[in-house]
Amino acid sequence: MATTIQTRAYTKRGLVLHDTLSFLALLAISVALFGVTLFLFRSFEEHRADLAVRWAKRGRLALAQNHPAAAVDAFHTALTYTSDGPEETNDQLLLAQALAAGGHTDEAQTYYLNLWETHPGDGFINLQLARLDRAQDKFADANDKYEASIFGSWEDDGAVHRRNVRLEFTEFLIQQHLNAEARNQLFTVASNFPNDVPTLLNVADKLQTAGYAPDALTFLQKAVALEPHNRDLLIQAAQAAYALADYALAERLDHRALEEHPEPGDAVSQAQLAAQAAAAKRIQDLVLTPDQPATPRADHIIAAARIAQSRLRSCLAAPGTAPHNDPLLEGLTPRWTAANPGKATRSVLLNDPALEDTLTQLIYVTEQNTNQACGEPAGDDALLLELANNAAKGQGSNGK
Amino acid sequence: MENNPTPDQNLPESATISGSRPVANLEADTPAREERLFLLLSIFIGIISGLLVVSFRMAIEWLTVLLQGSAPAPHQLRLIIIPVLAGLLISVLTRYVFPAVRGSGVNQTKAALYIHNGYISTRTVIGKFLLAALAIGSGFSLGPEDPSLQIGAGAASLISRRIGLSREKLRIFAPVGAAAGLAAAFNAPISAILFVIEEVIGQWTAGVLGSIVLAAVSAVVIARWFWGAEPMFRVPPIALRDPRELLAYAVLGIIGGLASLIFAKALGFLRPLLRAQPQWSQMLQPAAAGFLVGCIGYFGLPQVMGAGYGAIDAAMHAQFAFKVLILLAAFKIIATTLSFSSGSPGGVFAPTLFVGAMLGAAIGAFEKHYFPSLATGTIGSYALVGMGVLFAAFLRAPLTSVFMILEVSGNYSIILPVILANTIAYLMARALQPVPIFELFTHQDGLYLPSMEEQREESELHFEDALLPVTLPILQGGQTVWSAKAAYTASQAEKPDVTPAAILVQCRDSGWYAARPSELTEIFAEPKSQDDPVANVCLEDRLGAERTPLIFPDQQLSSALPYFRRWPVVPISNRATRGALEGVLSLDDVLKRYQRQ
Repeated sequence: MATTIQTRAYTKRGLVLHDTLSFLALLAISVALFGVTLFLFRSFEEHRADLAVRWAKRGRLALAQNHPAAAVDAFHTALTYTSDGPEETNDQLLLAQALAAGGHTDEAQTYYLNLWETHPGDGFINLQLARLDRAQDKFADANDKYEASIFGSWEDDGAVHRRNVRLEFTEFLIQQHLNAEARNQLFTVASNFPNDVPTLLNVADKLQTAGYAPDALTFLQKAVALEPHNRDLLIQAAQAAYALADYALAERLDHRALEEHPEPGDAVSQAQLAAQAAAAKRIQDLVLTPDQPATPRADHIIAAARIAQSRLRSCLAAPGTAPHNDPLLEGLTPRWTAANPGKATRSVLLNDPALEDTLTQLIYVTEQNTNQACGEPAGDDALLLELANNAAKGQGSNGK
Repeated sequence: MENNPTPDQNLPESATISGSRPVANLEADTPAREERLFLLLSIFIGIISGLLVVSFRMAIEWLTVLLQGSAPAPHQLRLIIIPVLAGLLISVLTRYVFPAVRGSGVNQTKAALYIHNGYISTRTVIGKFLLAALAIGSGFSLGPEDPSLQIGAGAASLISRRIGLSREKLRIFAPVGAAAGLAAAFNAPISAILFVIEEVIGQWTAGVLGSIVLAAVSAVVIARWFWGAEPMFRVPPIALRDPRELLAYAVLGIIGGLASLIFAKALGFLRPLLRAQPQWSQMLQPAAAGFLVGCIGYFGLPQVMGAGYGAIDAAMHAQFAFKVLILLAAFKIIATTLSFSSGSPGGVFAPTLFVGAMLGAAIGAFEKHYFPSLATGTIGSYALVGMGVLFAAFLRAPLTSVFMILEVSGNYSIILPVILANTIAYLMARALQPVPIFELFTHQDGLYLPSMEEQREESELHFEDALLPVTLPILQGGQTVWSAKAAYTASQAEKPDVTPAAILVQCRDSGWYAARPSELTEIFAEPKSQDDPVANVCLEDRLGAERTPLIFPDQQLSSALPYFRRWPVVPISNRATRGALEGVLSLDDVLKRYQRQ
């Protein structure tokens, strides 16, 4: 019995020893196999990385040479060998760019969406997706992606990227007739870059497009304040002021521009600029709107009435016109006769605001109708016609 | 002949159990030893299988770059020359050095489990590793997953043999290794576990499941250490905004079912045809297959060469036009049929996924073009669902197909289309091709391994399928022996010619006692008169404390057989009302029911 127990103890000990040795052997084999696999894996990964770099370089070259199809092939191959990580993301971005450049919008979008899944806050990826959504008329998605891009992360110069995205976003908003939202975005851009003239000009330009001309003029003036000797800027601001019927400001800006030396190749010559300044000065003497002081307004009406009557007479006398049959001109002479402008002196007009308004309207109608019947006027008539058109649009002088 | 054991597989039993006889003898003294070793060994099997599969995949990729170049493209002559040369080398090595490496590896693993006691020779593992890598790397249209499964199973077999385990455990370790190999190959532990259970062992037993899970997880940990945790395919999440889009997925299921039928029929036709050719011709078959596959690549579709994961990725990113997708699917079926039927070692998983991805992407592209308002998913999501569809229909593993798609994409938003399309494809494939592809291969090889699909669908009989109404006499256990005797005599007087098979005694504790007539006759004979003390003893007390087991109608009928050794009938109780009977069952009833099945 004792022998049996002893034998069993030996056998158990033997088994424990056998199992322990077996597991140690397994452990050693696992470690050795791991080491060999790791060595081979690293070596192969290096080779793959070389291939990835080589093909990515070819892809970049093809993309730079505007060969998107070749770039797509090269980046595809590069991606076959790229390991997970920034390089892969970079190659995928380039591939997506190449696909988009090649007109493969769906594929490009799929790539960007894949990237977006892992980098949902990436400004660049969101911007690219916004552009693709926009190209496919997915406006709500584009809107979301633009916003995500603005608030997303950018590798370098985040502020500049965000400004550019905002400016692009405003173009999209204007395209969607969401002008108020566009204005808000532009104000944000301008407040983020208050001393950057190109940005202010860009903002002004987009505000103008969105229909916020007074705001555009404000930012142009800010730009002028930053670069007071920038001739082009002065001219642009003057034109904006003139378009807003702020003739005094336009004249001032034109004169300041005249003081600056023109560069060769400038779009506006000094002579043209002088003519603009002269027109801005002269039109101020013809403004008829009720916001003018009473006496100058009366004087303007008297002068303008003469000009308009003269224009009517010359139009009626012009060969080829048939005044009695022309419905535009037919009623004008009796209306001038009834208004009797000859009696309208300064004192009469000052005491008769109704007559002032009647004559103002008659001047405007005369210029507009003669313009249609007898062609485009010149000189003071052209200025009066401009005032008439401004009045029709509800725009007074000084941009009001 | 791919499943026939080679000379080195027919080892003496001692060799299959242990390398050292004394240790084998000692096992009798420590029966719990294997249980303790089992789980720990599973982890090692997972680690080693994972490392082997990583090396295997690396070898394939290395050979691909080396043999096909870094960017294979049409009109490169090497696309034809390399597969031909590789085919020649493969046939020589298969003929003279590694005769058991032909085919995918799934059936060989099943054969190891059911025929060879879990034995897979080391030579087979080495041969599978080298030749499958060479075949796939040189451009044969085959996949690495099934060989990975066999490599894992082979590693498990080798380890368990060296440790010295019993034949039973040895047999179980092959599927454990298979799960590890497949898990590492797909980077998808759940799918691997399910596939091995669905296709290899066919049963869920807690002990085996624990080992399989441990091995699969260990293997995936290793695989991810090298390749990272990213899923194999990435597609954006989909949101089904319009339920009508499911129609497109249903169409994908139907087309996938038909494609799998064509694929299976092609393999079912060509494989035995080539096997029946003379030996010299078989030596040339891999080279001829390589030439034809190479021609497909040379003349415009190099994507069909090799496993084709790059092309699957490209299809997912909508880089192929509709016609190209259809062409790729068709030529992949042709190329895989040629490659596999020629006897080149390699799997069919990857080609199946390839065909599915192309068909899925084609359906997606078609829908996006003609019904853009319905298509909310990307083409990638269709390609992904297509992969699952072919997997379900061709490989006939419906559960694995669903989980595999979820795992390889890491995208759970796609589950509804996957389930719908896979189910349609699976049902179609079952109806049109009753014999699953792996089973077809085993039949072609002259083997009859158990069909897991049939096993899954075998309906177990339950007690409720056989029970009969209670027509036996019932006595109350609370009665005295004397009054019970009177009641029994009275009931017998009504049917004097019939001797009941048993008498049921209802006890006061709601239990039942099924007594044989002879047993009661003996008890009733004991009291000579009513005044006899024995006559006033309760019947149930006289019968003793034993009761017939409590059995319910929904329990499996097969479990009834042991009861009839002790009891003449088995009363079947109602689960809701204790003591109430649904019916009774005799051995005769059980046998009759089985004979009727």
